[in-house]
Amino acid sequence: MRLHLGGHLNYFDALKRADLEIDLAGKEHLRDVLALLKIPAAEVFIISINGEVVSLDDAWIRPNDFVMLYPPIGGG
Amino acid sequence: MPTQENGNRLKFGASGKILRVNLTKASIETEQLPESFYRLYPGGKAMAGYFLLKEMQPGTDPFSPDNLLVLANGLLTGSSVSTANRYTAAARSPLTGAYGESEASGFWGPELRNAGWDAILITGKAEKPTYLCIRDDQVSLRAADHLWGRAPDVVQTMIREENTEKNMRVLQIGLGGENLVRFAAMTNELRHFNGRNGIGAVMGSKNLKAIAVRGSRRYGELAHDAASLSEMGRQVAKQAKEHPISRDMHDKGTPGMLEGLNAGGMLPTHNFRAGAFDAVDAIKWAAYEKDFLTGRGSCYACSVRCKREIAFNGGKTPSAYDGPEYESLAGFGSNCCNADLNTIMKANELCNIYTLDTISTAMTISFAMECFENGLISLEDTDGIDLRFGNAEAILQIIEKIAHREGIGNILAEGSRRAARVIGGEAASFTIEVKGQELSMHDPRGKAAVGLGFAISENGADHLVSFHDTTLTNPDSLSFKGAAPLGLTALPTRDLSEKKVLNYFIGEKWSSFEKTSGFCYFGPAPRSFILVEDVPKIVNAATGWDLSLDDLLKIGERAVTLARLFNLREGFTPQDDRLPERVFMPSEAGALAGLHVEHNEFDRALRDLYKLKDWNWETGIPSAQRLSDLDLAWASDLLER
Repeated sequence: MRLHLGGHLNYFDALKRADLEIDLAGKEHLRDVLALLKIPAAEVFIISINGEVVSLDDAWIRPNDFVMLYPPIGGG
Repeated sequence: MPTQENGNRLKFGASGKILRVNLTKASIETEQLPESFYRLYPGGKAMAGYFLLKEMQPGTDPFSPDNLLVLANGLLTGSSVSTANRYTAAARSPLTGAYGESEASGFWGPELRNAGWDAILITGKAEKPTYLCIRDDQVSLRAADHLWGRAPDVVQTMIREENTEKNMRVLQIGLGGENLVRFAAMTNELRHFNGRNGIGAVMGSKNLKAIAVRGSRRYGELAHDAASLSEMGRQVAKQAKEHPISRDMHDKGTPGMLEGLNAGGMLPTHNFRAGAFDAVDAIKWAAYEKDFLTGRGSCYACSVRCKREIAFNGGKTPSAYDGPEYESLAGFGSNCCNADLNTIMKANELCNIYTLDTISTAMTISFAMECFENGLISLEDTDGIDLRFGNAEAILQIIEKIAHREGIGNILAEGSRRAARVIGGEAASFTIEVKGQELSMHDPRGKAAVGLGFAISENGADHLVSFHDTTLTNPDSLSFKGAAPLGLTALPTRDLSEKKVLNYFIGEKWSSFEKTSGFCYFGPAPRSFILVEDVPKIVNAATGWDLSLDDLLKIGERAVTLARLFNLREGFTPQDDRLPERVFMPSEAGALAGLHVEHNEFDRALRDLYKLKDWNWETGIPSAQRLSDLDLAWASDLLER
């Protein structure tokens, strides 16, 4: 899967990566990917899988998916 | 208790000194205000609201010499606390006819403080172009005929050279302010703007080109406990460098918000018809950083450093002005269906040179584009400019016409509400404004409480009057936890329940306190990194007043109420607290496609908010008890008169 970490989410990744590729053996839940990367689920506000916005509960990911994550976005 | 200084003056974080300038009489007077005044109206928004309500006659034309222009530092402005460097510019707005206000960061406010002044009150109209020159206690009015009509970078250099002072801080207007464009801004140091409400046009109407300041004092001389305040300043600076939100603000700035809002269906597109832009990749942060970014600038004593420095032509042509913030990027980009990033950069730079508010400029252009595509404006009207959505070059041409008040630009320079009256037909349905001020780049279909703020804000649609719904959805998020002591509830963004209304009300008071104390919106939580519980500690170190969070909220509510009373006196009613019809229509694209604000739900929420504020639903007038509780009983007498 390809993963884009928007906003401040990349600061939780050990290498501070905004774009990364992760090998998935099969269908996995986003919570497990977040745990792997040590990204707090509470910081994920928008989840887009292949352009479709889904809730965290519904965030099942397959090996070729493109996932974009964004944190709470304030004003200004 | 506040400490004694020289046996007779208390140190409470401000000098207690203000300047009064009458440009008609060419007179300059000083006034010493007591500490008791500052406890009620500590600075910024609160101080501006007090003077506008107390000293202006009702019905004063915004371009009359009698309009009072207030420039008031926030209480903490000039201190070493990161993000506490703002000042308020206020007057009766020529765009809305209401209480007008706009805050800016940068270096001018702190320099005014270092010169020994908390605020400047300006009335009258100079016979000829003039600038005000302040060097500590030496204050004078100078001829500005040679500066009138010149661009801000030239003016700044000329003022510094003729005063042989390379660090003189210059607040000024460009051509837009001189030509009384109703949404003209003011700029300091070329990179910081009092953008909204047309306060720059008020300055222009007074023939006041600039206010140049140089001071030799330091804020520590004013603070109750300078050592503690300094230590807190160090802690806040350290937090700014470590906190993910402030680090992200440093790295990407507000332009980093664009792609996330697009993914969430909340990026204003096609004059607020849609919430997602097909060509977003062309204008998002990655493209901005790759093709234009050259550096990151700062405001006074701020460790966040969120300003964007840019250059054109692949880095060969540096701009003297900053690159676009999110608002300008979305305004001249998605909302005009424009995917040409170079043109967005140019449009932003033109607005900076002419000191035009980029939000109102972009929104007035998107309004005109919709009029053009619907046949209400012809090629003949535009002098041949093909004003279709997506025509990047047309955006630049129209900005030139607005700034110079040429042709159709003379109509658009009046703002979209007045322009719609001239254009006629269904043009009014294409205006996206409240009280005459155009919406900023946030969609109430996705941010329900921001919509509530757009409607009720005393200065027309304004996105900085409360919290954004998006920051308060998860109780375990950094944003929410940082602001939790304020008593908030985590709720979905489109929720408009009673609890959301309460969140809004708390946020309104908090944001108002930020504008009174000088904090930037990118300082305290929930938007950013400073824990709300640390704010009273900072304020108390500066003042010695032993204030609680509730005390700060009360100061914020008092400031909002002063502005409300100003509007009531000018004839504004609850019918003015409305949203444009477009947001009650379904979004046409993006994650929120098909969704809209519900009339009944919105009206109920507004009614709930009036109840929380103790405002009469029919008249909009605050109850006598509420005014008394806010120490504003004196103001009800002004309304009765």
